[in-house]
Amino acid sequence: MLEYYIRLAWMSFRRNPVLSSLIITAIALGVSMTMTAFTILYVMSGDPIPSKSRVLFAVQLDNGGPQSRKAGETEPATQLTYRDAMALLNAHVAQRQVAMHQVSLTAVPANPDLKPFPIAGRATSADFFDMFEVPMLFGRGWGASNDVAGSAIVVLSKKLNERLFNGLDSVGKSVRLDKETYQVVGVTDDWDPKPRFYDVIGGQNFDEGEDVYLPLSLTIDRQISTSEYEICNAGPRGESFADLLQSECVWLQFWAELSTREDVARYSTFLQNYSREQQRAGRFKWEPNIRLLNVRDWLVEQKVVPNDAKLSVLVAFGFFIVCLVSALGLMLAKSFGRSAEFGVRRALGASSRALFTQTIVEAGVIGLLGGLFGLGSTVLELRVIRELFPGGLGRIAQMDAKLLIGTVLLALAATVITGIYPAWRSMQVAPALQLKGG
Amino acid sequence: MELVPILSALRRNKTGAVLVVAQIALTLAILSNVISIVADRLALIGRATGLDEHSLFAIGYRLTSGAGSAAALTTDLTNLRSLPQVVDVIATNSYPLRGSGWAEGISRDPGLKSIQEQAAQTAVYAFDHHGIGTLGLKLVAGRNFSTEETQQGNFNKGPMPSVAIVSRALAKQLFPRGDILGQSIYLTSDSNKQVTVIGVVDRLQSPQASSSIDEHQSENSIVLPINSPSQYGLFIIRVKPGSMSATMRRVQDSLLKSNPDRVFGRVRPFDEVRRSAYERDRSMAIALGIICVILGVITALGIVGVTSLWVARRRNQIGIRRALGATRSAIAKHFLLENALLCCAGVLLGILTSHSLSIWLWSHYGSDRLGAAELLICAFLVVSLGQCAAMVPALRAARISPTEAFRSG
Repeated sequence: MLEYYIRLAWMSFRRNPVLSSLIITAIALGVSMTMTAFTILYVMSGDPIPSKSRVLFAVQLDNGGPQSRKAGETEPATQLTYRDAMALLNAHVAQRQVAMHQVSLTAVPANPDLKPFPIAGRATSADFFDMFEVPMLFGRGWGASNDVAGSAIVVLSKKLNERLFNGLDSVGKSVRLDKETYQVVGVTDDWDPKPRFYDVIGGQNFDEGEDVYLPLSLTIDRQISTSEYEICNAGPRGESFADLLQSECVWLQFWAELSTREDVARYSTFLQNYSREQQRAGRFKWEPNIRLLNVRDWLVEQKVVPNDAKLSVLVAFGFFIVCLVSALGLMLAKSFGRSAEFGVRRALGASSRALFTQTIVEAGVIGLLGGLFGLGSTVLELRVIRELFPGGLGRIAQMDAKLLIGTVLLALAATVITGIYPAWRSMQVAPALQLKGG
Repeated sequence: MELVPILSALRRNKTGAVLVVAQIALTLAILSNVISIVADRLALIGRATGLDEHSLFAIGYRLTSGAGSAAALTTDLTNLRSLPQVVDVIATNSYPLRGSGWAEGISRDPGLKSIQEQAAQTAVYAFDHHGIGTLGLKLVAGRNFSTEETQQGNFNKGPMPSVAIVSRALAKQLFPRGDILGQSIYLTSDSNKQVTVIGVVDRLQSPQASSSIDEHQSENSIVLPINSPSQYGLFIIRVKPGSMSATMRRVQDSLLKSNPDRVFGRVRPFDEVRRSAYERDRSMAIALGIICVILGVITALGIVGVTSLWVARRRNQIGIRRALGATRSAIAKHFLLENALLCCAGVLLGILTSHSLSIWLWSHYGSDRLGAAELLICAFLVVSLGQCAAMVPALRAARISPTEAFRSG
């Protein structure tokens, strides 16, 4: 029976191609706009590291007190001072912990014909690679002993390794960054958490990541200062690098891995005690004020999803409703033109239920077509977005299987639901009346 | 006159009427709010930096060996100024719309440390007396720096210069009622380091200006006459009209000649600085604009659908009216008037919806409240759209021949 209905649907499409195409267009546009906007929001608010988002915690510690903030605010700084970061790092209270920041460096290719070029580096500590599950192509990250020794070693990104070593295994080779030589201990595979949750302070959260990773202790020894912000609301920076290390300026991101609720509680107590110690020593003149936020809460707190994205979903949803109302009007117009056909079918013995089913199947066919065209226009819209927003947003506007299935299903569901009213109206057709007419 | 038959026709076609009204209302609500957001973006993009942007470009470098000295910086500046197409050059720490820069709290009284006590937050620029001429800033009060006032130093390091030039916005925030010229202000808590304001420029936006609509954040700036030779350097170069791209190459060559151990960042003409600073806003405005157009098309489609349905249903009546002497234009007018009535009802409902949507958006996203003028323009647009859409089926109705009346049905 279904086959027969689909054949009828096809015939009805052929008989009224303009109206049918208009319905399909309305559905396709509405669905694709909605799906595009949702994709962007979904990726933006998505979990960048699903396997660990509950156990990785951003650590905040109030080193500036109320006078470092605007009146009424209580939120401690989002980064730590060097002295606090080192104290927490060396305490080893969490299973894993990292302190880090971004630096800018110059890569000097071995071939003297090639020009040096600027790169971004992440100065971090040994636990980084295991903690954030960085996939490795060659070699591996460095051990804690390298952190202590401040060894001149680096882990290259796949991209930089391709540029410097044509993608070959470069472990054990040396690279020149600025004036210094570093030994390569590992090369990461593609690693691109979206958003880049571990460093949202610079506002670069959707941009491409770092080219090299190197020990934080080494960058301290070599006095390489951060390429991000030194925020000095809690006290002056001082003049030299040594002054900066002693100052109340915050410039290091600190993360801790805490697997169980007990670990979290323990770490929280540890931070409280640490703050109280500083209070006793006269450094903090306020009650301990700490934050431990896991990845999801952290992203919400840092407002990583921009209002633009939420707004566009809202607009897209309103758009979708307008499209459905349009489609409904067009469907009604189409079904009216067919009262005569329905009358004949009723007179020949089709039950009103059969007519209802037929119209719904027809709506389904239209919806399916709308979904397919919607797919096409989603691809097109994503391309437009990549064109318009070449930086951050463009990078995440990608088609995937979930989006593909979602688009078609949404179109189908929307059309069938919208089709109920015209179908119900076609049920009301009285056989005799329509036969009488022409 | 004509309204009575229209109303009675609508009463018999409630579904279609409701659909049209709902669609118009929704379209108006979305359109007016989206257009208002787009207008806000465009206003944001349109703000002036205070610089004469078309003849400026910025170039940053980094020395791959050596730390940079005052003498080397002076040599660089002299060499660049001697290039034929170069009008003037400054070494600076940052520039408007760059995104990152130096920010500081300012107070009128000495010894204040906390953000809460300070009178204003401001962007700090460090460049010498060449700055006003090179950038094309408009000095509205006081004077420029003199050569002797320029200090050599590091941005983190004293001695703090004793004079400064401020933007008008900052002057107004610090001294709302009085004259700022000659007044002392403090950028650090050190009460020995007082700075005297010697000049006010009309406008000099902060490096973060593009990311904020807050006037203080985007317009507050202070210039200190500091030259800071270091491993990093940033020049802003003013060129003679029409010689931008040729000069960019010559500037790099000249700098490499005096010190080959240099890598350059991107060379950025100010037009490009502005473009990339507002890229997101412009793209968002374009994207929303496209959505508005498509939304209009969809709404028109819906109206065509419903009106066609009505025309199809009333073929007989139209035939009878034509047979009884109604002209073609009277028939078309009937459908257009009918559409206008529905559109007006839709607009009334839409204005209510727009208004509440706008308040909701305002409270959730901080976007500006929808203005009455914007709303009226959108209402007019939507009604015209409805009329255009209804035109197609209305003209088809007008072509119905009087003989239709004699067909059965």
